[in-house]
Amino acid sequence: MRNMIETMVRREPWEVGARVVELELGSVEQLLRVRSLAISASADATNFHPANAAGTFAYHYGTFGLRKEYVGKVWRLDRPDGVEVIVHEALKIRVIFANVDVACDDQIKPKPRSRKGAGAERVCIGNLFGSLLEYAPQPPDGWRTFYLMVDERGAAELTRPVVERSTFTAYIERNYLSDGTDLDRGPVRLRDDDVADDFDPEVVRK
Amino acid sequence: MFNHKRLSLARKRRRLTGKVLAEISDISAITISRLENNENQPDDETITKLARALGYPLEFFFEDDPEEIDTSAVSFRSLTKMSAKERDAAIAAGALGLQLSSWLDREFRLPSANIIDLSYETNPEIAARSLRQFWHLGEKPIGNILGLLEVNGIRVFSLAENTASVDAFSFWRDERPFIFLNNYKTAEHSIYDSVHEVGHLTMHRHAGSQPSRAAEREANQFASAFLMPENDVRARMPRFITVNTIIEARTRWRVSAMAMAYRLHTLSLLSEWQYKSACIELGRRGFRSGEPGGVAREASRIWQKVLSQLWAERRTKNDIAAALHIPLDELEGLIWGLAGTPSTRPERTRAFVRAV
Repeated sequence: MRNMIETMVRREPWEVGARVVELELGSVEQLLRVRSLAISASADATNFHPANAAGTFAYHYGTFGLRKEYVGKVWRLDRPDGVEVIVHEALKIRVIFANVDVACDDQIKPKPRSRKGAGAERVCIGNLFGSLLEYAPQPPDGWRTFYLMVDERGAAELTRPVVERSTFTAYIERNYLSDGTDLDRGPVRLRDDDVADDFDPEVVRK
Repeated sequence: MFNHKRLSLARKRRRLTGKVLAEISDISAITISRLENNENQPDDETITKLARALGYPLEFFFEDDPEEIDTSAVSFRSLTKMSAKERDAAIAAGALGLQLSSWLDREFRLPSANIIDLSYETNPEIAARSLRQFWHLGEKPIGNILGLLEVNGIRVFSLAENTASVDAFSFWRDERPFIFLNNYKTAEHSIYDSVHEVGHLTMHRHAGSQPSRAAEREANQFASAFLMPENDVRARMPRFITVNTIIEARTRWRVSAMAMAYRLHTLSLLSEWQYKSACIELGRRGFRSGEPGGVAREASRIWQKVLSQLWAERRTKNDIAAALHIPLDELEGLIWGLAGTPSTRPERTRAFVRAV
């Protein structure tokens, strides 16, 4: 039934920027700082860490970054049903950090890299809508929940999904923040042929 | 004639108080005090007891006055952490180093000092760039700092001090710059320390009084800028820097991961928060107490050449020590970690250690 929901996709920087301002989330750059923090933390995982460390680090620091960037006068920290969010009381908006498989791709619907629990389902519409056909549904309590979705490449989108059966089943709106190319995650440009190391002091026997 | 200054020097090198030396040499503390103050001349038995207790050859005590180092002109690192005993021992090592340096000058012709006076320069970044320019290094990373210093006439000796609170010190003597390095630290630490001392030698040559914290900060900034030139770092680092990037990058500039992170922070390539996080993560991975996967220790070309020349003449380090009238362990200490990398550090002569 969720397939009946028509998704509003904003791809152009000017429209995404305007939407971010409308949601009182500052700027796209501010959201991308949270993304960078999460990606940076995920890169701290080594072979010695547990296999899921990269994702765990990204989630921890993504959530931390979201709160560090926004919690203050307007946004506050909350944990409804154990879901780690920031909330905007006046606009009735919640934002959650999530690792996803692929972000900012029209052909692929982003899926969370970990199962979403009942709490997430409750704050993201989920079963509250039953089988009603909805276009851009309004939740009964008036709260809207957005996810800052970040994939491994650093692509990020601010998306309002529907959570059912532990995953995202539909998308009310998707705002493309970055395809990850701005990260410049290339290797350090090392070259050995331009090192100054030819020093041979003259030592002469008297 | 017995030289009381040499008795003080040997006692300080062994880190002994007069009282402890009295106990282990079986001589009264009053006698030792009078000898060090040149109020008495010792008899042969007393000299023998002192020499045995200190592990120094008898001849050492009959040489001319040791070259004294003006402690106010010495640039020490970690001033606050160093005890008076450690400081005295390090300064005394400096005196022995000068003796060894004079021997080198008598036996070999070595590069003369080639370092500019940058005491007028208040900006360490510019000072570092000026010295690089003077030495024709451009923006290249330096693959062998010890070789660079030796080619430019800076005498580098090792400090046989197995203590974390002594890093290095430097001074000028007769127009020649000297650096004493604690080589018991990581290779990256020694590289950074030696350039820190070059900072003092070139920027604070006429500072005169005791080095201040500001001077230490300047020398650190100098070392950072000299080892990691801004343009080269900017050109080679990706925009997105992780802890793994830092660990990879440090090998190009032969610095510690912590020093690399600090440089990236000062160049605004890492934000304050990223820098703090990187330091925490590096600490977790053991980069605060060591340098996992670090570079190989640099070896002194001068000492390699000197020792191989002596070897060809069938002479060894024992002969150098005998010529200088110093114990072999002191000679080994002064060149330890410079003349190749021995597997263990030189053992101090233990004759003076016994239960009391």
